[in-house]
Amino acid sequence: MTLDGVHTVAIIGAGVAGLATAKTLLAEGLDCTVFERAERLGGVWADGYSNFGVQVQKELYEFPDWPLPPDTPTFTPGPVFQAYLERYGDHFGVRHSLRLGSRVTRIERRPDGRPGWLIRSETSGEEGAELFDLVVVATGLYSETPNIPDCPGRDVFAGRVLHISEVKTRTPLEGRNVAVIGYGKSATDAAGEAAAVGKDVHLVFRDAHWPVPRKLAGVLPFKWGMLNRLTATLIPPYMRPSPVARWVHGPGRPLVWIYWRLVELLLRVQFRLDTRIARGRGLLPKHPVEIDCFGESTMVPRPDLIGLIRAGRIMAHRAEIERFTPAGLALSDGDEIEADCVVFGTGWKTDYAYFSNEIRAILGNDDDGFYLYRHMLHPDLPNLAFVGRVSSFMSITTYCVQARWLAEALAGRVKLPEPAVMRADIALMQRWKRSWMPFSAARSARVLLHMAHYHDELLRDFGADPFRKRGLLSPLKELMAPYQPADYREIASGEFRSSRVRHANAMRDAGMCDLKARPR
Amino acid sequence: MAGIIIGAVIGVVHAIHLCRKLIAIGHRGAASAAWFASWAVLLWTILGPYVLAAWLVGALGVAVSHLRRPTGSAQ
Repeated sequence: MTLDGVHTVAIIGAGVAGLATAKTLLAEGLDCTVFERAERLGGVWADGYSNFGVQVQKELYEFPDWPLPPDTPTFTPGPVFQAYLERYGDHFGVRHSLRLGSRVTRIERRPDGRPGWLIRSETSGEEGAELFDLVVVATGLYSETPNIPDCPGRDVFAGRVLHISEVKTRTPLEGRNVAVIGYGKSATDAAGEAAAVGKDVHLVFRDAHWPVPRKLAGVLPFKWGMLNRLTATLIPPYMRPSPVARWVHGPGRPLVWIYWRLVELLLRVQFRLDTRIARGRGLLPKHPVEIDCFGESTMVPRPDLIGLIRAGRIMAHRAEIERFTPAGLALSDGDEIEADCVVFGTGWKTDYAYFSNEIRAILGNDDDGFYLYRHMLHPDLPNLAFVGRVSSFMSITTYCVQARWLAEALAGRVKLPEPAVMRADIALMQRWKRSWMPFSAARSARVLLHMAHYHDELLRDFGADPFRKRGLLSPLKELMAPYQPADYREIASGEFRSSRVRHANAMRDAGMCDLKARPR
Repeated sequence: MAGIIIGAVIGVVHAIHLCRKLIAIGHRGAASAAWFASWAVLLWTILGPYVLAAWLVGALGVAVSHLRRPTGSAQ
């Protein structure tokens, strides 16, 4: 498979992934057009719910080659992050490639049969159609369609039903009895917002999940316990496990077991997960933490969440909605709660409405989403790439590494395998994920704590060193220190190529064997 | 003492594996690979007794959890 003859690129979405892709491909001399349906760039950061923001520390959520300003709060508020994206667009000259307020309505094959795609779009009511050599879908995992479960009796409910995306301010929650549905980041944020201004607040969720604390034991930022290579070795092994991982999960399994049970104990104590909620149920998750953290609702909750539940300000119900009643909700545990506002924090759907039927048929309709080679390419859809259709704990960095991989592939520096090899790789990933990862509509795109392994794979493809730590203590840092965006600065900027050349020259001058100058 | 010896043996095996892997991917030269390997031996040797103790406690825990859930895995 090749990506030859590409000069014009259409990028769908001007969020983080789209901007990173545009910046990287523009630097390679390609002619990029970025379609963005909203009037502002930023994607989910352009228009969030009330008091939304980044849930991880700022040093984990920034472009590797464009750090956030030093005076940014530790947990970047959404509007601050959107302004940062605007500056990124200006600095790297992406703005002149942006087509804001332009919604892509259809992507179909070129009518002339040549490689590439026809994009139909709508801008201010006017329809347009353009041909591109390559289309990069950078709209992320989810569509703009809210995922609201179909619950019976909604027509008899006298109150308001909202999706979290409609809660732009606290106003709709003020003075109301609010029921929030879900247990992810947005649902718990909404419950916190409602607790500040609402009357009675209920949080209804089917299953509890292990929360990730901002600081482990209140002392150590969570990145030290989660984002290093030691932890990456202790999670269920990657689809192509190293000999070390095979050993650790074979004869060394008791070590893995005790490590995760200690982590569970820590989280149980720190978050007081034995807290009793409605019907005497607790907040302790069903699944072990090393499995649960690959599920749909992994989150770093607001620090006061459990306190609000313990204080009764948020009444938690571990149950499903059975039906709406005129005055609220009837739950599967027999409880009935009064509410005049129900907020669904249940995420978004995963459809790609703008794909032609032919593309949809090729991508398939598996319940856990479609699988791609390296989470980016489909062997039967040449010149169509996905950047940002992957979830990791440092998503911006992952998108930047993906964009670099794509740029290297376009430049011929990544040798793409034949379609049959790609299919075999995709099938392997499918079997691997389905054998242990909890089901979710986006399981196909989940990488999460396997982020380091995924990055390693991409970096090896284009001949960059996957071990990014530098200095005398680099072996210790590789094991214990968290990987963060700064470690991938040279990758995002493309400077890794010149540093390879510098290294090769230094080795040659020193008369040493040059291991990096091997032909690829 | 048993922990130190077991740790050192595992450390040497790990060091050989690391050296071969780093050289294969072209990681900053042979000296760097040797430096990584030395650390592997050092850490495994120093931490060997603790790792052995944790392994023993873990083995007990796995066994107990299997007894409590005879049809499922420890996970």
